Amino acid sequence: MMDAGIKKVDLAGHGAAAALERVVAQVGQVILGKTDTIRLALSCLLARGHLLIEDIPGVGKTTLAHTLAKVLGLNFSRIQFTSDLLPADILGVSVYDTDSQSFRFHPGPIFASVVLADEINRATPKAQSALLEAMEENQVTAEGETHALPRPFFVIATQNPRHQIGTFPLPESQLDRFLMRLDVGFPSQEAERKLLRAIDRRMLLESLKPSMDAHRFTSLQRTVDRVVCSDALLDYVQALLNATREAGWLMHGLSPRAGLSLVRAAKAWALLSARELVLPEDVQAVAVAVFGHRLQAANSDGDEGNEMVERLLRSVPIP
Amino acid sequence: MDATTDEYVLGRQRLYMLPTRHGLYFGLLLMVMLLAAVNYNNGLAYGFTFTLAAVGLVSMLYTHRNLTGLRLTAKDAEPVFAGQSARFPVYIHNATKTRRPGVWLLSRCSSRCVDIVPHSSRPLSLTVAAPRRGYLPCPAFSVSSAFPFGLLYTWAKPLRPTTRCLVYPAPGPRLPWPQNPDETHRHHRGQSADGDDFVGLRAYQPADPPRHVHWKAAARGTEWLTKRFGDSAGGLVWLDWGATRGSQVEARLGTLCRWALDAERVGMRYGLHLPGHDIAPDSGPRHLHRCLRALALWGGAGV
Amino acid sequence: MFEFRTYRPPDRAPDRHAANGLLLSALAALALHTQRLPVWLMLGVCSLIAWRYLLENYSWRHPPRLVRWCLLLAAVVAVFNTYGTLLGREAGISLLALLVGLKILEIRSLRDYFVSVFLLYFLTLGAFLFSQSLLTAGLAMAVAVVTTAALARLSLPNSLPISEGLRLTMAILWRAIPIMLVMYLLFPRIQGSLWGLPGDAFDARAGLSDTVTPGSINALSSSDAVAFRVDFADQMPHARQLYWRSLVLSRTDGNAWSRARDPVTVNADSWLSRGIGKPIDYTVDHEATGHRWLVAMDVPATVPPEAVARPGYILEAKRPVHQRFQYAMQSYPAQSAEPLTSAAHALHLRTPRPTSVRVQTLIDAWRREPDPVLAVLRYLREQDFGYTLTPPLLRGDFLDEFLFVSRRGYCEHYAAAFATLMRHLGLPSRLVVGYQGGDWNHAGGYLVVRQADAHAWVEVWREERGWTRVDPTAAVAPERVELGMNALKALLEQGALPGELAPAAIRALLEGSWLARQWLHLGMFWDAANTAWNRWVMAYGPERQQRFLRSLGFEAPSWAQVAATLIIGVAALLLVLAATLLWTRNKSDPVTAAYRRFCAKLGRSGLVRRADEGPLDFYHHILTARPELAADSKPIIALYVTLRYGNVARADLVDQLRGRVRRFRVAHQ
Repeated sequence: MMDAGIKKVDLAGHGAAAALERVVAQVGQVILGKTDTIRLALSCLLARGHLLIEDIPGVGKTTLAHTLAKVLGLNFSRIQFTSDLLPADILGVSVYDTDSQSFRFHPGPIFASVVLADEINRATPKAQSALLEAMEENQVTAEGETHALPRPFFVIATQNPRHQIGTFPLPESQLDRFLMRLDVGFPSQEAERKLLRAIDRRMLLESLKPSMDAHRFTSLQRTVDRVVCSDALLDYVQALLNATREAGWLMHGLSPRAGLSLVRAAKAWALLSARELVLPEDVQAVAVAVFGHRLQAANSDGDEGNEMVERLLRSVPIP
Repeated sequence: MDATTDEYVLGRQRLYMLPTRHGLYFGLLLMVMLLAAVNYNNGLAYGFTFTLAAVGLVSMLYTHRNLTGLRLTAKDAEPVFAGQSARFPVYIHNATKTRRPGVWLLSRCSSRCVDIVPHSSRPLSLTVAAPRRGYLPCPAFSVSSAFPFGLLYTWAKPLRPTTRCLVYPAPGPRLPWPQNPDETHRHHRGQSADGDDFVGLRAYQPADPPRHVHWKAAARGTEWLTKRFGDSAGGLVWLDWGATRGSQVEARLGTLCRWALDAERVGMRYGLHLPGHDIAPDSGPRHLHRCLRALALWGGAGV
Repeated sequence: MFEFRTYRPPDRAPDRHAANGLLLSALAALALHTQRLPVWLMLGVCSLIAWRYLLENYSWRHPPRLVRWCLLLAAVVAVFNTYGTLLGREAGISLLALLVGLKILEIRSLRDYFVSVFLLYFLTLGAFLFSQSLLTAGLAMAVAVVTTAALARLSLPNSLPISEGLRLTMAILWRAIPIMLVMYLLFPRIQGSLWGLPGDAFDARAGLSDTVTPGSINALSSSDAVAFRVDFADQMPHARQLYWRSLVLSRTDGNAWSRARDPVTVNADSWLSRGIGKPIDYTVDHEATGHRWLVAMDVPATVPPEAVARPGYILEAKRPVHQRFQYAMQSYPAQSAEPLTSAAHALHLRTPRPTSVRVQTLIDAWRREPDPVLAVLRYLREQDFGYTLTPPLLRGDFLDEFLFVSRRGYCEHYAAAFATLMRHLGLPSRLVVGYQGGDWNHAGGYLVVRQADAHAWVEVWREERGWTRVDPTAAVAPERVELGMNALKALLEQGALPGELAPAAIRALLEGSWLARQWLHLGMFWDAANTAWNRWVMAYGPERQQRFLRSLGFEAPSWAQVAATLIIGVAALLLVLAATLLWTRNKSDPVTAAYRRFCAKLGRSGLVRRADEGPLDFYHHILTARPELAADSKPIIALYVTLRYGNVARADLVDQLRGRVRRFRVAHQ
C-alpha cells in the first residue's frame, strides 16, 4: 500500500507494525483472499473489542477465529451454542469436593483468551446473556465468588443471519457490546480454486506456529492507545455521529459509545497500517464494521446496515 | 416508499423581524428621554439616550443572529393509530460557535422554547392530533426568537415540510376471530379444538372454562378474553374483509386492524385479504406494518 | 398566494430569577440618588423592594389592589409634604423613585416588568439633572447595564448564571458605543430649551464677585473648585505673565471697590491694533459661574462671538454663564498707551480724603519722591508687611489700620491699599480682579486655574505708558506670582515666611514626599479626564458641534446635511457590525487553507477531490489520474497529514507546506 511518504514511526520501538504484518500474512495463508477481513478482525482484537462474525456456514468463520488465536499465541476455546445450552455450560460449575469438604469451582470454557461462541443465536437468551455479561465485566460470578477472566480476553461470536427459524436473534442492546460485526463473504474465484486444490484448512492450522505470545499482544494493545488522534479527526467522527442523528432514513442516531468504538477501531487500523496517526481513511475503513450492526433503517423496507453506513460515509464531507 | 427528511437552513432571505409591543414602547421611551435631553440641554442625557438607542439597534443584529445559520430538519413521524397524536420530529441543529438561547418552535397547535448550545442538535417534536387514517401531513411551523432583550423578534418564513405521518385505522372493538372456512376445513379443527399451544384470543363467552380466561388482560382492566389453544405450527389466520360485519368501511377496517394486532401479539401467522389487495401470510413487525399500512391507505385514503 | 403571518414568541411571565435581577437594578438606580433623596423615602423604597424579594423568594402574598393604591396615595402626599410641590427636580425624582418601588411590588406580567425597567431608565436619567460629572456617568452606565441585563435575563435559560446576562449586555454595549458616539456627535443640538425650565435648574456657585472688600477674595483661597482651564496653542507663557483679568473696579468708598456705573460697549477692534509683542493664542474652557464676566489673559486683543467688550479690556458674555463653555482668545503681552478722557481721569482719582494723620504724613513724604510708585512698593517691601491666608479683621479706617496696625493681608488688602494710595498721590488707578497663575496639568497639557488662584492687582495710569500693571502682592510675597498659589500655600503651611526664602530652600520645601507627588500626579490625571469629559459632554452645545462639524469638513453644515450624515453613519456602522456578527465564514487555520488551495489547483484541472475523500485516498486518486503530479503532491500530502492529523504544531512545517502549495503547478492537459 502506497502511503504518500508519511513517516512510519514505530511507536513501540520494537517493530509493532512489522509484527502485525506477519500475523496478517500467517493468517492469510489459512484464510485465502480475505486480507481485509483479517485486518479488520485483528484491529478489533487490538482495540480490545469483541467480534461478531455473521455469515452463512462454510465460509470459514470458525477457521478465522481459530487461526487468529493460534497465530497470536493465545489459548482458545470453543463453545457451540445450542438451544439446550445452560449458563453453567459456559461459565463453569461449583462442585462439592469430598476431599476438601468444600465447593470447588470448575471453570467453564469461557476461561480462555479467545472464546469462540459458535452460532450464538441458537442458544436461549439466558445463555446468551450469561456470555454477554461476562464479556462486559471481564469476570464470572458463580456461587457468590468472582473469578477474573484471563487477559487478554476476546469473544468471537458467529451467527447465521438467514433462516432464523428457531433462533433467538441478539437484541440491539447486546449487539452494541460487539465492537465490530464482520461478514466473511464468498472467496474470490481464484482463492476458491486454490482452496479447493489445497489440503484441508484444519490440518494447515495444526502446523501453524504462533508468531507472538499473550504478553507481546497486550503490549501491542497498549501501543494502540498511543496512536495520535487529532481534533481534526474527532471533528470528522462527530460529524458522522451527528449525521446519523439527523438523517431521516435512520431509526435513531448513534450513541457516544458507538463513536468511541469507532475511534478505538480506527486507531488500531492505523497502527496496522504502520501509521502513528489516525486519518479519515482509517475511520472509513472500519466504519462499516463498527457501525453496521448499530444502525437501523427508519423504514422497514430500508437499506441493510452496511449499505446505510456506506451512504452515511458518502454524505458526510471530511471537515 | 422512502422516508422523507426536509431540511431548511435559516438565512437572511428566510427571516423577518419586527419590534415587539414592548419594543415600540421602548422607542417611545427613547423619544421622551431625547426631548428631556434637548430641553435641559443636558449632554449626559443625550449620551444616555443615544446609548440606549444604540444598544437597541445592536440588539437587532443579535436577534437576527440568534436564528441565522440554524439548520432545521423535519422527519417523518412514527405511525400512530387514528385518534392518537402524531409527533413529527424536528431537529434544530446549531453547527456554529454561538449559543442560541430563547428559540421558540411555533406551530398552530404547539409552542416550545429551547436553548441550543453550540455544535449540537436539539430534537423537538410537533404534536398534532391524528383523527383519520391515511397520511397526515406535517403542519406548517416556524421558529422565532425575541433574544436578547425582548424588544424585537425575528421569525422564519413558515416552513411547510413534505413529511407526513402514516395513521393506521383506529383498532375496533374485539370481535370473535374470523371464521376462515378453508383453514378450519384444512385442519379439521374448529373453534373448540384444544391443543397444547396457545393460538390466540377471542372475546369471553360465559361458557368458557375459567382456566382459559386471559386473567392478566382482565386484571389490566380490559375486556375479558379467552385463550384459544391449538397446534402452533398451524397458527395461520386470514384476515378477510368479507369476514367483517357491518356496512361502515371505517368500522370494518378497524376490526381488521384489531385482528392483525391480536394475531401479531400471539405470534400467529396471518394474511390480509382486502378487496383488490392481498398480503400473503407472515408474521413479525415488518409484516404487521405492511398490513396496517394497507389498511390505512385502503380506498385511496390520504394518498 | 402570499401569506404574511407573524410568529411572535409568546409572552412569558417573568420568573423569580428575572425579578431578582430587576430588584438588584432598582437598588443600583436608587443608590445613584442617595445624596438627594430624603432618608424616609430611601427607606420606603427599599422596604418595597424587600417586600418584593420576600414575595418572590419566600412566597409571600401579593398585596391586594387596594393596598397598592393606598401606598401610592401615601407616597404622593408624603412627597408633597416634604417639598411643598410635586413639580421640580427633587420632588419629581422622589415621586419617580416611589413609583419604581410600587411598580416593582406589583409585577405580575411581562408588561409590568417592562414598565418597571423603563421607569428605572428614567430614574437613571433623572440623576443627570443634578450632576453631569464623569463619576455620575460611570455610575449611571453601571445601573443601565444591570437594568438591561435584567431584560436579557428573560430570554436566557435559568441554567446560566446571572453573570451571563451581564456579559451579554456588556458585549452589546461595547458594540453599541461607536453608534452611540455618531448619534451623540451628529444629532443636531439647539440653543436654549424647548420649554421653560423650573427655577431650581441651576445651582449657585462660588466665584468672584463684582464688589471687593478686604477679605472677599480671601474667602476663595480655600476653594479647590476649578474656575477655568486654558489650552495654549504654543508654549505656556511665563508664570509672571499669567494674569487673568475678569473685572475692573474703579469706584471706591475707601473700603469697598466696585464697578463704574453705566458700562459702555467699546469697539474691540482698537484692542487688536494696540497689541505689542508676540500674540498668544489660547482657548479658555470656562466653568459655569452664573455671572456674565469672563476671563482673558492680560492683555486681550480679541472678543469671542458670545461676548462683548467693555472698557478696561474686560469681556462680558451676552448671557449669564450657566454652563461651561469654551472660547478662543488672543492676547498680547503688553499694549500701547491709549488716551484717557478727562472724565475717566477724574473717576480714577476719586477717593475719600484720608482721616488719619499718620497716613497723610506718609503720603506727603511720598509726594516728594521722583517715582511715587516705586517708593510705595519699596515701603511695602522694606517694612515688616506680611502675606497671610488668614488676614486679621480690620476695623475703622482701612488704610490706617492696614498700614500701621495689622500689616498683614491677602492680595486684595495690598491691592486696595496701593490703589487708594496712588489716588491720594494723584495717579489715576484702578483695581483689577481676576486670577493669577494656575497649575500646569502634565497629563492633559493644559493649565488649570482654580478659585483659590483668585487675585487682585492694581493698574496705574502713566502718561507715557498708559495703564500699567502694578502688583503690590508681588512686592511682599514674590512667591505668589513666581510659584503660584498652591506652592505659596504649601510654604505657608510649613511656617515659612514669604519673601524671605532662598530659591533652593523653597524647592526643598516644595518637593515634598514621593507619595505626595504621586497623589498630585493622580489628581492631574483625574482632572485631565474630567476636562476632556467637560469639553465633550457638558460643553458640547451648538457652538462646539458647529466647530466639530467644520473640522469634519462641512463648510456650512445644514440641518439636513447633518441628519443625513447621522443616518448614513449609523447605517454604515450597523452594516460593519452585521458583517462581523452574522458573517459566519469559518476562519480556517493556515494548514487547512493551504490544503484547500492545493485541492483547488488540482480541481481546476479536472481532478476534483470528493468531499468524503481523505488525503491518502486523494493521493491515490492523483496517482492514477495524473501520475506526473504525484511527485510534487506527495510531500504536500505528507505535510498536511502530519500537521492536521498528527497534533503537530510547527510553524516551520506550516511555512513549508504553504510554500510548496504556492509553487505547485498543474499543467493543463
